[in-house]
Amino acid sequence: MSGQLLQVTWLPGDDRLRGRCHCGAQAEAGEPVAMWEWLLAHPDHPAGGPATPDEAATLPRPPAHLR
Amino acid sequence: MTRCDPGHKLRGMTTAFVPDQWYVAAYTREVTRELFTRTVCGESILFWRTVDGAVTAMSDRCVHRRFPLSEKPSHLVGDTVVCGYHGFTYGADGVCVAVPGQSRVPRTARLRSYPVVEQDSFVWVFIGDPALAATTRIPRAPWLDLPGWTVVSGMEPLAARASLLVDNLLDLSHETYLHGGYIGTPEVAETPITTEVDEEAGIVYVSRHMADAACPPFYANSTGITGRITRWQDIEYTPPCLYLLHSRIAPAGVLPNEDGSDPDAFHVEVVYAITPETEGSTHDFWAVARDFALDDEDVSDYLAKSNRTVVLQDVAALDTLEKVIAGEPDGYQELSINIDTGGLAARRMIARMRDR
Repeated sequence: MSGQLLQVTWLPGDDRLRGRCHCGAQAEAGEPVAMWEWLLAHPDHPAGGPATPDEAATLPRPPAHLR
Repeated sequence: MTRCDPGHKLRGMTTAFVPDQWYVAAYTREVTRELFTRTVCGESILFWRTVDGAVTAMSDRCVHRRFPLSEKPSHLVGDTVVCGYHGFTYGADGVCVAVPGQSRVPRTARLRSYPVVEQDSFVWVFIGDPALAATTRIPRAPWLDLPGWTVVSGMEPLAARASLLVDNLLDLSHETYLHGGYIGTPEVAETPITTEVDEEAGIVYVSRHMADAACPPFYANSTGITGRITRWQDIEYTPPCLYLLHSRIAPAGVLPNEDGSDPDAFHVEVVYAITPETEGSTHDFWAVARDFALDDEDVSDYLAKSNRTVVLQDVAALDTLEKVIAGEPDGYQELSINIDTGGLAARRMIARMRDR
């Protein structure tokens, strides 16, 4: 490995992802698209971490028997 | 924990090839004194060995009327290939040395030749500017040609774009569903992964370490382990072509020694070379190298048959997926979740390589 590592760890027991840039910046995200966008923005990682998607807009309603 | 992501036609999953790269064109055993052809990244290439055994790679189209030089009655005469249509004759460097009925050979009568290297049981060919070949890395898979390892291998044609196979191999959670009864167990899909991208080296790593997992038939029948296992899957993908899966199997709880030695585990190196044939088809080279039961032909036969079955399960699924995607309008949406972290990293790296 060259040392220019970007790392995304899926936190055990959770659905969260934790990203760490080679510059030392770290952030958490709920899904990988936003996580990579934030990491690959180096050196201009957006403040406040990865954008949080609107869950209500992206997740379908659960089946009727689960409501 | 989901989010829509633009699909294959928007996110580095377009059908263009990554230029100026080495690609696996064949196994060394495939290239002999017989004329052999394979299309790599849309280019039809002729391979043959000289009398001294060196591999040559040149365009598989005669400069005269485009007759494929791999087609009979084209044939080799010493270190020249003679076109079976009108007799244009080319040397190992692709330069035309004889044409019919006249003594002067047109200066421009030469086949495009390709840089070619034999390494790790593969024939690698450079697609792009030949001047860049010498300074462009050829990734390694040493286990395929190394004492202490036994290898089974094959190649299956895939009627799907290469990016679909990259997606498939970077997310092994699909083993649980597509390959149940062979290599999939529930723990594969249930265990979180760690993804690392080495920007300078151009490598994507995805690790999934299962501490206490069921042993799938693929490993139970080859290692003899009957109980639960510690199963490590460490992917090392060097885009665009070479994919390695470092697989470690041991009885549950058995870990490597502190000095790094690992005598009580079984190690399998699963190697894929992902070589685009055309924009919508791929050569799916696969190999399984092991450091145990080295001389046991029953184990070799079992692993070869089982892995080919697994590959063909992927081929069937991806062939279907290609038809679906090819029929979708540009910009369709797909959904990525945590298991896709490695695949997304690979897509982005390939897109950067292709667009720079």
